[in-house]
Amino acid sequence: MPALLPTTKDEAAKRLREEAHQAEPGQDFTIRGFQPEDAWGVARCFFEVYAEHYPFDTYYVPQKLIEANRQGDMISAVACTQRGDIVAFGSLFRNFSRNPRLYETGQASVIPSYRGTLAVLCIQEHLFNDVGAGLEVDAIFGEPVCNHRVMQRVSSVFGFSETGIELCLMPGETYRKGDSSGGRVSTVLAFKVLRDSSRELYLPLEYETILGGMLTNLPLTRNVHISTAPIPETGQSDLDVRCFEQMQALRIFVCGLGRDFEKRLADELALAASKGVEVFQVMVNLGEPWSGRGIEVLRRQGFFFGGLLPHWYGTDGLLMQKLAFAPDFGSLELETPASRELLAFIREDRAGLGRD
Amino acid sequence: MNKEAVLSLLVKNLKKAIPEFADEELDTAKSYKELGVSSLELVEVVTRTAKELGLSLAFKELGSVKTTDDLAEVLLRLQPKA
Repeated sequence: MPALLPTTKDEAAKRLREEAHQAEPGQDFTIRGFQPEDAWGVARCFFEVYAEHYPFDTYYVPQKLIEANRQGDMISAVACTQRGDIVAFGSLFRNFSRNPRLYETGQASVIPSYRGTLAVLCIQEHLFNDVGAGLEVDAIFGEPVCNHRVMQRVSSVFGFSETGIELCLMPGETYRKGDSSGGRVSTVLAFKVLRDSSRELYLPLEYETILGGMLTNLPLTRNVHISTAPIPETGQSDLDVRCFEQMQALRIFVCGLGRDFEKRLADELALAASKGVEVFQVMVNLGEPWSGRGIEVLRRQGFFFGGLLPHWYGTDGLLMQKLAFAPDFGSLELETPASRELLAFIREDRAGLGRD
Repeated sequence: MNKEAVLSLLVKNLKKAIPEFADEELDTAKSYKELGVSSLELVEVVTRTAKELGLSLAFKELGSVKTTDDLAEVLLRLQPKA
């Protein structure tokens, strides 16, 4: 590691270009958790894979990577050779501040000369089975793509359960080609629950059957109710709105439902649509007794079922989705009977809205 | 299952993952890097083969795998003893 570490991405990129380091091919490697002394090796690994074009600074600036891992915002693992080269890197990310114990799987990166190895699979195993189980992590989720089945199979191998499908979430150009759903790529929602305790769960009447069925296959202890309560008179909606203009996608995390929800939602949807957003996702907290009223509002505005989000808010969430175009359901590559059943339900639910 | 049978299954799945190999005689001692097999394609071969063999894999065992021969050896080791 250089004596004085770069503190910006530009500085790091300059130094990485100058040193032109390349790991010797064919070395054996071991998989282990990230250590602060690996940070410059990770920067070298990312530079070899993406040059300076990876859009996040964290991987190039050692102190940022060390800090993210120290604070638990990332949990990382490396494939390290005997000579100390980091030839592959993978991470879990803290996804959403409402439940800091929920992590998302990140993309694993391998330098080109090690692409004919199983480094990625070994890193994922380390993260999903060893690291996640040893730390304060309740659940890990991933979004394997549906333009091929490989990552879905990997997800099943590591014990993830499919709980939903996010239609046309990713722009097709991210994966060179889409699944012909408007050129975009859909993803499966897959969760691996590591720790659980008993919680209240309020199901919207419309989705009682599908969610009830899903619960029997997940290691969750829930006191299940049908949501019948009205939204409280007092209090405004608490919405965490994230617009991803590059992805043309909007995500709204409903952290609290208020009587103003319908208007606030309509305003946010109109604003996003004016920016070219075509994929709309709303997450509702099923730990609130009045969650069903939020689902009714969403269905009135053209939203249909997306999937169950175990532990999303500490309590569980429900993903609802809406598209500005008609998806090509037949183009999705799905690995398991469970995901095919989910897609059939989603298709029926969308058709039931009678918007086509 | 003996080594020949495992090798034959691996070659079949490699050809399925990479259709360009369909008509080729694959050298199982050649490294995946030499053959131009990507990580994703290799993951496809391993997960498909493990599923067909009914194996629950500890992937850590696969860290040193570089060829189809290496992979067959590991899979044979992991097979439950009859």
